[in-house]
Amino acid sequence: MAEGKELRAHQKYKKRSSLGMVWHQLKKNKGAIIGLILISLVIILALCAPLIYDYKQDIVKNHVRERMLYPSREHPFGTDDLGRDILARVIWGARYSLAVGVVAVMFALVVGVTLGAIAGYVGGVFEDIVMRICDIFSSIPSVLLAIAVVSAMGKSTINLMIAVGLASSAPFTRVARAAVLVVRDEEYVEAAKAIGMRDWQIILDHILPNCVSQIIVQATLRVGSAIISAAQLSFLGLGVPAPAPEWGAMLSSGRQFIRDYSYMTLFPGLAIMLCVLSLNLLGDGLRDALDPKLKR
Amino acid sequence: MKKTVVVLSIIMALFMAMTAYASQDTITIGVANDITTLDPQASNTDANMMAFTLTHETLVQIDPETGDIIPGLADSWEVSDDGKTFTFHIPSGVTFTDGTPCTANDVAFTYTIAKDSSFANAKVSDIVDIQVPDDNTVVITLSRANQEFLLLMAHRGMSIMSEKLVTADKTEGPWVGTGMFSVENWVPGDYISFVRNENYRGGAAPTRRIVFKLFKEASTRLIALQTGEIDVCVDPASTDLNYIKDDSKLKLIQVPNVVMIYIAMQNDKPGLDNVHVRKAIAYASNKEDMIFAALNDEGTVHNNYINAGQFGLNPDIHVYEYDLDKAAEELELSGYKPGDLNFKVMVDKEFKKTAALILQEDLDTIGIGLELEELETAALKGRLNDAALDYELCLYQWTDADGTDFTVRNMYGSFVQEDGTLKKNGSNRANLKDAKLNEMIDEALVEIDPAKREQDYFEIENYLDEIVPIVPLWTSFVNIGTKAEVEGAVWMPTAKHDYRLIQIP
Amino acid sequence: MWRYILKRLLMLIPVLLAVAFVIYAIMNVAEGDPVYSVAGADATEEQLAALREEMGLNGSLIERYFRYIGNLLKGDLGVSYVSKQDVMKIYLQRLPNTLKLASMTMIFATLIALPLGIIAAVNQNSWIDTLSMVLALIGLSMPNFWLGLLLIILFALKLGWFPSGGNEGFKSIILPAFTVGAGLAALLTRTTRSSMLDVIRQDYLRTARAKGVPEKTIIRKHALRNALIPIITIFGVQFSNVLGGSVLAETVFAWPGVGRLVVDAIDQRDIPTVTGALVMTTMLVTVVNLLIDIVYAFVDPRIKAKYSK
Repeated sequence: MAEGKELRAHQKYKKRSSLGMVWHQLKKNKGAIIGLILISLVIILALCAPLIYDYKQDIVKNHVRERMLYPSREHPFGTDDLGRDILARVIWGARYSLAVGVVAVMFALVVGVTLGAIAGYVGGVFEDIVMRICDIFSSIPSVLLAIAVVSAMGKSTINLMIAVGLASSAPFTRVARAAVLVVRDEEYVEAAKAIGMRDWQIILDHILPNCVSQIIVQATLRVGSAIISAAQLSFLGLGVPAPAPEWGAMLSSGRQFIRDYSYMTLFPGLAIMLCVLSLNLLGDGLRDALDPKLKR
Repeated sequence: MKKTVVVLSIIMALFMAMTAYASQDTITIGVANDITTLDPQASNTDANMMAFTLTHETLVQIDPETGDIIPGLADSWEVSDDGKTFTFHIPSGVTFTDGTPCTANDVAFTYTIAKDSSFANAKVSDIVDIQVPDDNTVVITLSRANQEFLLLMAHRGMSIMSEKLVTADKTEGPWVGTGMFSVENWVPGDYISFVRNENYRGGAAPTRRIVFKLFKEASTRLIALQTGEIDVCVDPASTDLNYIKDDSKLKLIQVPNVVMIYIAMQNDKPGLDNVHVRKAIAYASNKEDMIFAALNDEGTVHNNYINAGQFGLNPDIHVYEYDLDKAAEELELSGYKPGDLNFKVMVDKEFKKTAALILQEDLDTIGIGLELEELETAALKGRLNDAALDYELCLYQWTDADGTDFTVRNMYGSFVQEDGTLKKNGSNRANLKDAKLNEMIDEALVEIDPAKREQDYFEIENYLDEIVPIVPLWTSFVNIGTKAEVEGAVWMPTAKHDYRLIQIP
Repeated sequence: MWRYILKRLLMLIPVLLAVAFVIYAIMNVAEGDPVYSVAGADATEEQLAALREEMGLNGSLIERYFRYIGNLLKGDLGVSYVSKQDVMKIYLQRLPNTLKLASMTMIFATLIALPLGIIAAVNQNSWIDTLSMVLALIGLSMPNFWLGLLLIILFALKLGWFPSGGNEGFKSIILPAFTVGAGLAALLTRTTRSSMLDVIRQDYLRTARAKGVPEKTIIRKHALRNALIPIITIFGVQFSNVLGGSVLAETVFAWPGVGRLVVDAIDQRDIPTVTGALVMTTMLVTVVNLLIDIVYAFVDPRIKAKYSK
């Protein structure tokens, strides 16, 4: 067991130093820093939204007689068809869109990484089955899969998260399996086996830490696409129930007024784009920082 | 009856049809709702009804201007003195659009299979016997002197089909009628085209081909009209009407719509079984704001329990004016405390969602929670029809405006089951089971004196207003944008337009 | 070689059966009895029972699944709950439109991405490189349905250059194809750029340069040809995404393809149509991926060697 502890200590040391390296590389990437700043701003806004606007008073309260006002000093983004301030709703919407994106990806990550890691480690029939399931899920277009899931389970925020998560878990499975395959036959894993460590311990302590970086990159990029998927479902009327200010749902209800009141579709869309853009910048930067081969 | 605005009478249009010369070959109508079936007894949506008007005929029809019953497939009929036996005369030489002869037998067949249709059965439930003494005569006997029998037979769901064709092909046989058009091509979800029946006995239609093209998005539909891709745009968005008004090549047709939008309340659900709670909801319904926000102010507040323009509409009905104080008082009378009650409301369309959001806020103020449940139209209908009756509130509509009995019986009536308990009629979305009301409805149906009958319906409405099974909300306008040259169509307040004689000369 | 193809074809069968099961199961666990959304309001118990039988709703889920698979193998996807039409017929009516949109999308994406990617690679680190990478990033980050709405506002409503929807001639395909194609173009631009950069650095190109071959010829004759391989891979991988993306574009532009068919069918609770269209679409994606793999097998000597003895 003493050797086991030493091995773990060695791993921790390696991890810390690689994280430091990553940060060092990331700092040099202008795009990644812009992305990091932007996404931090979005997160801060989302967290502080309740301090700026009261949900009941500013987000869901209708001011019917002030409906569809063009952007002005009082309402910088205008008002929607129920007279609600679009700026306030866009800011509050960050809470919903980010939460859906992050939870969906966490779901995908947990399911995907668990299956992938076990598949890679165990091999054989189990691996075959898991990878075939992965193939199946990647050959159904993910939007269609998510639509089918939500329409079957009913509309709710939780179901939306599950649907989007389910549709994006295959890549995590692949990444985790590939990472496990690389290190499965390495000496230190052999060593851990030789000293009698349990399989799940080996996976947790020695194998997963090696693919953490790739998973982080995947997750960062996936949160962006999960936000878009969720918005797509909301746009089709399968997302977060009204009156919650989700960006996709705002786009969907503004769409009928697109002709004369295009600002109603403009601002929520910009918000989605900005959010996804910053996540992509950050994700790209992280990937480059972690994979020196790609650096030019 | 409905002396509301009708753009051109059928006679005028017919005259124009006769004098028409070299008109546009195909007329394309941009529609908002998909045709879902071409079988008259398999549906009751407005979109499908418009197709049946083209392809099929009913025994009798309603003159859109006077509301009188006029000949359809039957050129004449007699009613027995007791009002229970109807004898219809079918002219000789009528054929279905494919050439199959149409006789009295086909009428009997159509009405017989209607009993097995979950859509048509309510209309033929009073029929106890059908006799066909010869090819030109059909004799129908009723269980009671139903004063609205002819109105029911004029319903598009009672379109006459061919026994031979339906027996041979259960799916496509019902598509064929004796109408002025036959189905040419149908791509569900995209378009359906009809070609005229050159052998129609009253003379062929002025336009050779009519196409219903589906544009789900109102704005896209209107743009298609402006670019000339379509000739008629049904139901443009109420915020976009000025585009039609401002364009000299287009014209805007506005007909007051009789379709009633209402809040259905499942009267058996805890909370909603309390009349004071229902009254609280009625007082908390800000109909004006709902119309303002959901319809861009293009609508009229509706306080009656039957449709606008129907016989027996009570002009002096008591009104639950929007008043949150009174709503709070009613809630107190109910014994429930603010915060005790939480309901769910089902909505399907975007405008209903808007209205529900307004109701949500007002109910929240008096301490009743309301959660929106957005469903697809078919899913919502499924929930309403499900025997479990597992819903609380729902924004729904009543679209039939011909027979008052048909309206009150279906919306509020119930029937006695074998075990002696009451069961609601299919379209009774309030799940109201009230023996006293049933009696009132039955009495009104067989009342021969029209003045007395009208009074009966006033009383029925007053009674409904006391028990508030539903909250009526509004009626709106049927808006249609067309190219300026389009003529001949009959625009209906029920939105089930008659395109048989449409043309562009 | 043929053994490889045969093996892949045989592997396709269990995958497709499993796909059919997944979709069938998802669509059939939906709450509520579908019979109620098809029947009229006044349906009696007997009418409901008859309708259930007609809709194939009798029996357990497994029983129904096997019945479904049995019919599927005969090419029968069942009958739509709503229009009572054959689902296969409905699907085949829509498929050409979707394929038209998908191929236009791919052509569009290629026309934009290849030149942009090449120029960016050749002028690495110049302003044009930066610009094209920023454009690509925006393209990747933009929800495509929102882009579609913006295109409608600008090109259909304000400028009136293209129709805002429908399927009337070549003009009406441009905006939807661009909408679906933007994301793909962005991805392709990046791939083209990076694979061009890889190739440009190769020794044989250096040799060519040293021999005095003009730069333009090098790019056209040598670099591009080799850079194409990863680009073709992207096409295969993205085919499923293009089909998925067209779901939204078809809704926004009222394009009568398979995507809108599915969305409308979900709206109407038309389970056979949804299931049928999803199964067929998955099958299409799988077959396209198989074809690409086979093409690879012909090209890639490693796979070739493994199976040809």
